Amino acid sequence: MKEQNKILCCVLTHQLPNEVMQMSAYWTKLFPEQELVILYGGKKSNYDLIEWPLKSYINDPGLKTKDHQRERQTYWQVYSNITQFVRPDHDLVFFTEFDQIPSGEDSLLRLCQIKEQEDSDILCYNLMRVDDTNHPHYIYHLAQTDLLVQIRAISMRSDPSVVLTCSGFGHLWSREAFMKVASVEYTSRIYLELWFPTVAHHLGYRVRDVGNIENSYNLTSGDMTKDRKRMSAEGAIFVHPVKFLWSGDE
Amino acid sequence: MKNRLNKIGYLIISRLGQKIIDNKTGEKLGRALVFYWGGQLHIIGYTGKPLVVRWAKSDKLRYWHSSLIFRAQEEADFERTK
Repeated sequence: MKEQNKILCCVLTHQLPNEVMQMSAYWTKLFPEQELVILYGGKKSNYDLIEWPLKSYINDPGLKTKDHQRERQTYWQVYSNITQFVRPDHDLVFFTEFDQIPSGEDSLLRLCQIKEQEDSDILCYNLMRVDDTNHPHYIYHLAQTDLLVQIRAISMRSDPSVVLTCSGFGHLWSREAFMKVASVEYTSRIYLELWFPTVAHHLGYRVRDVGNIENSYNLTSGDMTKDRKRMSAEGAIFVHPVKFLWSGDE
Repeated sequence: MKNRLNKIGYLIISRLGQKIIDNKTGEKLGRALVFYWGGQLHIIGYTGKPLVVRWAKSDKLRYWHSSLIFRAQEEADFERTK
């Protein structure tokens, strides 16, 4: 592993400008040597008030869903906007949501170590294989979309039916894999948790999970705002979801 | 109200539902109400790992009986092919 990977950190948020600035200050304090991009999915008037050099406004109805799973929320536009900030000297791209909080200065380094150990191109949280199962997102997409047809059209794998899912936060990508996957467009909207790991797999990249212990600190529901410090002390690399840290309700 | 009813339903099924066992490993995957109705087999209240359903192999040739089994999907661990 390189002594110091150059990582483009990208955080998606819709919070108020003062909360976004607190979050940016926290990330910059922990990782002063890395660049931070703010992806903003809230109101345009709030976006204009955010004083941050690397920021991008996401104007996509596919992001601004209310019932995310049933409306098949997508981060395709988010990823597409990130590509504008990626340079050849970035080794890795880390994408997450505002409510996934790094525990300390070594959080990115520890994730990089797991990615290295797993020899993966993409490291993500709560990764599962769901094809041929009763997973709710999978069987919903079979009825609502042409997911399997889209996958077959791009697959370089011997089994084009494999479908993966992972959480929408905490993706650590090699630059090459990120750029390639971000360039693939869907013909019917596919829920983000299925789309990115499945497309990456079928383009030949190795997608791996961060591990059960770290997953146990990064849940898909509830709120860990009050438990964050305890979890960090126990060894969590990141904690999710922490919804009220930046609004000062900790 | 809907959330509370959901929680009560899941709680009852997690105690009283039928055990779902991974036929390959013997692991207990969870509990659910399993019943046949309207031409479909229904799995209600299951919250464990995603289930794969298969016909069970049979050591004996029998014309009167066959059974369906459950197992968890394999881990997502594929080699790089690029």
